[in-house]
Amino acid sequence: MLFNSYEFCLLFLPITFALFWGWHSLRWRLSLLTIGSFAFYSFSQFTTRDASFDFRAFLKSLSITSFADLKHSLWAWRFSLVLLTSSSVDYFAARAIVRAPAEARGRKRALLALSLVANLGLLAFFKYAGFFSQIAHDVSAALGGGEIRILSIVLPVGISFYTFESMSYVIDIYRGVATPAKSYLDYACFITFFPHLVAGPIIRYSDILHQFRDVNWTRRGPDWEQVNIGLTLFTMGLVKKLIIADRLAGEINPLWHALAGGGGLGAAQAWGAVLGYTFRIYFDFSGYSDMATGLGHLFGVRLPQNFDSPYKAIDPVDFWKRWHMTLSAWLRDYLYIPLGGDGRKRIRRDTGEPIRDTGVPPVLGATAYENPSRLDNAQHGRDAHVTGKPSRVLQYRNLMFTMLLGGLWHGAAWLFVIWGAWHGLLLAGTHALRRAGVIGDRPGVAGTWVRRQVTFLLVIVGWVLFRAADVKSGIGVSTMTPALKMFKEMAGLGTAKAITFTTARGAEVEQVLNPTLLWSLIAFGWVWCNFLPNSFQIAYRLKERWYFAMATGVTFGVCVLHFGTKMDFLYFRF
Amino acid sequence: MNDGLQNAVIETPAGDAPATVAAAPKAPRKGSRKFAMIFIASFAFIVLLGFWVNVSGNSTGLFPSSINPSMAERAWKTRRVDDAIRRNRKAGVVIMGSSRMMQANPEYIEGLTGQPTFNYGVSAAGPLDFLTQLKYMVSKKYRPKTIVLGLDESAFAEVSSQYEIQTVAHWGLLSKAPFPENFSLLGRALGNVTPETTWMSLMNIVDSFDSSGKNEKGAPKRERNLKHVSNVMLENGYIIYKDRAVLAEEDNHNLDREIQQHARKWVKMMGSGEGGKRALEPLARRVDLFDQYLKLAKDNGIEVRVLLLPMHPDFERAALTADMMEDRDKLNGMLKAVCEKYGTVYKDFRKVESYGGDLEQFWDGAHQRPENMRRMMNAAFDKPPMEMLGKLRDDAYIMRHLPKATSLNTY
Repeated sequence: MLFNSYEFCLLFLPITFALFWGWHSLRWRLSLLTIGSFAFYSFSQFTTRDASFDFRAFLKSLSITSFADLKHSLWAWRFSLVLLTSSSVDYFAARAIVRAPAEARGRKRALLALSLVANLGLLAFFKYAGFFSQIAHDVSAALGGGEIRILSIVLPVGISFYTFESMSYVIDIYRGVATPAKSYLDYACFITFFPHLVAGPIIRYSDILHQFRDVNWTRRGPDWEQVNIGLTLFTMGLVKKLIIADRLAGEINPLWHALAGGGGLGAAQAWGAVLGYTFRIYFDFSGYSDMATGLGHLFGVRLPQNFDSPYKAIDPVDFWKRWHMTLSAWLRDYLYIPLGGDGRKRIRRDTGEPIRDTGVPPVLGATAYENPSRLDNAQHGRDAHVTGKPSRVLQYRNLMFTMLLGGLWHGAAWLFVIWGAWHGLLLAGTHALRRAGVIGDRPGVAGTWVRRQVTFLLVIVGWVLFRAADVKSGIGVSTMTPALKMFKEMAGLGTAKAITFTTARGAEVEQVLNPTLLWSLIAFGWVWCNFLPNSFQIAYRLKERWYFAMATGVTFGVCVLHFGTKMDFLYFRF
Repeated sequence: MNDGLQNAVIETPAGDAPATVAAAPKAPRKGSRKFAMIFIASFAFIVLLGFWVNVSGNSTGLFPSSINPSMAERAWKTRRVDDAIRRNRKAGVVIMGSSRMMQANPEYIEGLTGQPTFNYGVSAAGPLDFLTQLKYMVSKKYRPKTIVLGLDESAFAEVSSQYEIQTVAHWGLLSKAPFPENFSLLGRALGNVTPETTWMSLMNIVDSFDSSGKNEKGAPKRERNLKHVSNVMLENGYIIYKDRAVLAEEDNHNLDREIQQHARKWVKMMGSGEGGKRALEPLARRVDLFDQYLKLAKDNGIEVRVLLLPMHPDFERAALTADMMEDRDKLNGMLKAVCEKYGTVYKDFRKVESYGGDLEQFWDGAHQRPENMRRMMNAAFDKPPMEMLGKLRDDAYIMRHLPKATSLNTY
């Protein structure tokens, strides 16, 4: 089920909202959200296949009348079982860790290992088995060995997101920095809470736990102020997705396809395709995140911000503070820091003890969006100081490794790994330039603009690799071919002119495209990303005036009338 | 774990990106509830208004009324079936399939078979349409002797065509659509409402209120639709693409350009391979519907001749990927097996040479001109392709001598 669909907006959401606030009981609310989220997830298995609601497939999965139907049903619901299995293993592993005596470190370590193996095993099987079997196949073929079968396994929607969330819970419990879930219901509700389930934001248990018990959840009716923020965020997400991202997709997909099919684009069209994708991926994913956060607010839960005007970043380090923020925070806390970071250690100011946690306390005094300077959390900032000498080699190595794995997290393809490596290089290069004093943290107005555009160009290079990873190349075509071809076209070095194909009569037929809409959307996206405040800045400074309510409601209505032309979200595949 | 590693920190890929939120809840501000209520009321008003305009203006042809009857092919042709039943002029041969079969000329096939012929082909038809149409005909005791069924390679694939939902525009036809597809069609018809359809419907409503568009009795003039005329559909279901007929007469038809444009449309429809989808892979449910179709025909003593339709080789090269070619071969094998099961005649016409077709006799990448369709029909009835076995009048000639009952717009 997509957020931008009739069945979600006109059925699932209003019904769940009414039932949720209709009965003043914590257990009821937790149970309702958990069951509702499982139902939502099961629907998602169908809708993401062809980006439209497949009522037939859903009904068929409910009515088992033959062996074929039985097989179909098991196929359809199996991914919910994967989710259930993953969350159950982690819940019980964490509970056993908590119950184990303090001195039983070996047992705790074994339980943590069990959880990690289970989660990473599921991820490896569903997401990477095909990729690794392809590598094994290629290596075997190169060495003249026997034929190795290339596996083709359907990826359960959202598996990359919920396994990370589930793993962070067990790791935090093992480190003793998170409060364990009070019941399985609490934990299941945290994992399956539908706004973040399918494509993030990647949340942690400590983000959610206290919210299940705070006044927003124990009050009888909804907090209308939160509801208003939620409705505004959801509407802005819809606008980003339906009005901009989907229209861009319609314009650029044929260009990428033409390239993959052997046609040339010419420099102008190539730049159109790449810039179009640059804005499409931002509006698509940040639109989804806005909707997810907005939905959280409707149920009294604040989900973390995932995007903070990333194309306003003045260098790649700044970009990763603004792009997919919950993923980069996860990679920082569970990969980069455990790898050694830059070699320095954090020490608690009060006790002088080393800090071992992930740095995410359960409660903050204020939210990031309420304080634009973005508060450091307690352990990272006010109550901690660092000791030791930074090691450049260690830092660059760890950055590279973290970003390589970050790239691989996005998809099982070499181009995603290369994309990760590119960003690893950019981050390392930025740190090196900062250390050398070539670039500072606070450039002037002109410096900001120049650095912003340079960063934008560097990010674009990455998006070419990222998008090319999704282009289905023909048999025998090298993995890098579509990306290299696009770079050549962008540089105006493409050997083929704007030709779609050559007919049997030998005539070269030129591809005729109307670029007006594409370039208009690109210009609009550029202005939006560079000059306008982001959704959070708008929603949290919301003035509750009647005309604003009406304008938002009308916009939402117009978006609903766009549902007939919906596409699925890019990040559903990751 | 190594404590040294765990305790290390500082320059991070994500810097100090916040990973959490939460704040002490504040007391609701005055007007908070009012804001939400105005939002919901505005949203509801816009959505209801949008649907009302779409139903009243009927620009999609999905919501027929006496003011704006549906000219969509499925509804229009089914009304011809109703008309034939009323007048007891049932056809002995019925052509079924997609727009690629709509150019099989019933007049010629009458000469070929000696049976009155009706072309019940509709755009982008698949097994769901074939079964629904046949169930409707059988329920009305309209049992032709022979059905010639032309199949597109995409008919069994996971391609949800917008044309399918035209079934909603004829309630009798919709009632025969299998469950649960009938509900899906209804849902999709509502989902078909977009800002564009709303605008076009609004223009239709404005036209209806335009006093200059009314005749003496107050009814809207038929002529107001003439500006939208593109194609012509005859009472026997034969379609004439007006522009193409004119171009053909002037010998101005540019096949290369048409193939190229068609290839672009195909790519847009089938997707760019994003996400590794196999666009032409046959779906089990569609095969099942096809099986039901053949069984229903057999149970009612109707002979079915199944044809897998050709594409222009240039178009194949431009638009079909290796995956698609492979899946088309797979489809061919599957169709052969299902047809054998019911003793149905099956003909693989993927290659133009298989029925003596001419590469120049195509309108675009997949739609054939009358001459090729004539040869294909000959071959379908096991006759020599080149022989002229009936009357085949030129499209331009027919357009100049239109009979009374024609559709002025096929959408």
